[in-house]
Formats: sequence, structure tokens, C-alpha cells
Amino acid sequence: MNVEVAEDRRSSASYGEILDVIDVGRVRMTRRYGCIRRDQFELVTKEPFPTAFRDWLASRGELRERPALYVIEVPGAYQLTVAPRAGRAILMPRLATDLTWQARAAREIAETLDRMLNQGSCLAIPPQAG
Amino acid sequence: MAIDERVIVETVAGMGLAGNEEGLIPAFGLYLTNHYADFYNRISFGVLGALIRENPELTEDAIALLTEAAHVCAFHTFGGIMESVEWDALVQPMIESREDWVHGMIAVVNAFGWGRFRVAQLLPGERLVVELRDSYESCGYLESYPQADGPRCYLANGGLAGLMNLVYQGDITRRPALTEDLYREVFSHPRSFRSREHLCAAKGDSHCEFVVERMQG
Repeated sequence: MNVEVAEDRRSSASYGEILDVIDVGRVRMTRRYGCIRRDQFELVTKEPFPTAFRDWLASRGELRERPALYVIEVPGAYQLTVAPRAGRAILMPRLATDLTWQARAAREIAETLDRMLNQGSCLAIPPQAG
Repeated sequence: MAIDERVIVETVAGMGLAGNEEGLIPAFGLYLTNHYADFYNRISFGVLGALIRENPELTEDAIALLTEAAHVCAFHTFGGIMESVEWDALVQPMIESREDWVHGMIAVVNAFGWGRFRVAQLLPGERLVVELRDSYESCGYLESYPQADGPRCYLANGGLAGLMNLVYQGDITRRPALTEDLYREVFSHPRSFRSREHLCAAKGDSHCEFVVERMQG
């Protein structure tokens, strides 16, 4: 994530505006302006997320799971909402964290996801029929 | 129609949408807040009453302000929901047509508990008729005021116009950035949608009903 580029755009950005887009291997990470103290980070892949990714996230916080999506709550840090079949997640940081930490946390998650995608498709959730 | 409202309502209701330690609900890519309906009603109807008492000629302007607030709310809230991860996971797989975007959003709204919305008619790109029972606005109004002489569900009314504008005027299916420029472009268009609440429980009708149509331009 290019911190300088994001900082330049932040000075005049409005809610939801894209600050930066980078590819972390097979994961496209989009950083959007939330407010002066936090951004949002969207992670998108062309394939479904592996179940190992859910298990890794579950070890980091409280997992709330529904049939089609799950939410990881890391108190004081962030909430990550994941649509595994769609290959899409959004990280919404807490105000207690600073912008640099937020970007680092998002990047770490993206790198982990990319690593798991590269480790093998046998863990992938098959696309939903229909 | 492929939208399974029961599944959507059960899933959204089971997501545990509750305020965190910041007092916010991060969901649907938004930071939602949990208000008491009575509190919101008190502010809305209080503003309306104060403006009208000050100058009865401001009645239409006061209603226009509340309606505009609803348009802005719908644009960001409904728009945000329809571009969210939750929508992708839950509603998008059910969508077969543009009209399903309307039905899907109505199902999500029903999960929020703002009332019981039902689509009575949807003419693609032209007209939406929605029945609403147990609207928090009309119920709240009757708790605090005598029977009204006109409709009172300003947020629901403007919200439904916003929904039709997002789906048919702003083409939310392409996931545009929900910017102020897009808002102005969509809602200022001479053929954009406006809603009219012609039945309202606050004025003694059995339920509320809204007709959303394009302006004549």
C-alpha cells in the first residue's frame, strides 16, 4: 500500500472514495476513505476463499458465521466481513487504531490469503450452484 | 422472482447486528447506528411542528427537507448495502433480474424492523407500489400526536424513491461510487423517481401505501 499516495488523496477525499488499489499476489486490495481517522480495505480474489482462511481468522477473534458469510470481530482492532464464495471481504478498522496500523493489518490479511490460495485449490469452497 | 425473503430476513436477523464499543454497527460496508424509533420520530416531527408553528407557509418546505434527508439516507444506506460484501454473499446469488434488486432490498429492510414492507406492484423502470404495515413512523406519530391530516412516513416515502432511483436511474447493478456528484446527477434528473404516500396509518388508514413513479420531466 502506497502510504504517500493514500495520504495525498486523503486531504480532499470524501467517504467511500478510492485512495489506493494494489495487488498482493492474487488478492486485489482497495483502500477507501472512511473518515479522517480510518479507512476501509476491500480484498477481492477471482476465486473463492479457502476454508483455511476462515480457520486462520477464527483464531484471531470472535467468529460469527452464517451459511453464506462470516464475520470476524477482533475487539479494539477491526471487523472483517467475508463472502467466501464471492471471494470478497471488507475490513472495517476500529477508531482506536491508527491509519498506518490499519494498512499493515489489511496487508497482513491479504498476504495470508494469497499464500493460502497459492498453497492449493483443494481447500477452496466450490462455487455455489445457480 | 428468485428472492427468498425468508432466508434473507433470517440471515440478517441472525447476524448479531449490535453496537460495538464505539457505539457503531459496522455492517454492509457502513457504520450503522441503533436509534430508538421514538427518538428519531421526536426529532422529525418536532422539526416539522416547529417550522409549521413558526410559519404555516413553510409546511411544504419542511416536508421537502425531511424527504430530501430520506433521499440522501437511501442513496448511501441502500446503495451501500447493495454494494456490500453481505449483499454479495446473501442476496446476489438469488438475483435473476434488475427487479430482484428491488425485492432483495425490501427483504433486507424488513429484517431491520422498520415495519413490514410488501411490494404490491413493480413495473420495471416505471412504477413501484409498496404497502407498509406497522411503520415505525406512523405508529410513533400516533403515540404522541392526534390523528394526522396527512401522511407522516417521510423516511419510508423518500427511501422508496431512493431505492427506485438507485436501481433504475443510477444503475446500482454496475456498482458506481456513491459520490455526491452521482447523488446530484441521479436525484436531479428530470425523469428521476419521486414517491407519494397516499395511504398512511397516521391519518387513519389501515396501513401505509406508497406509489413511486418517474417525474414527468
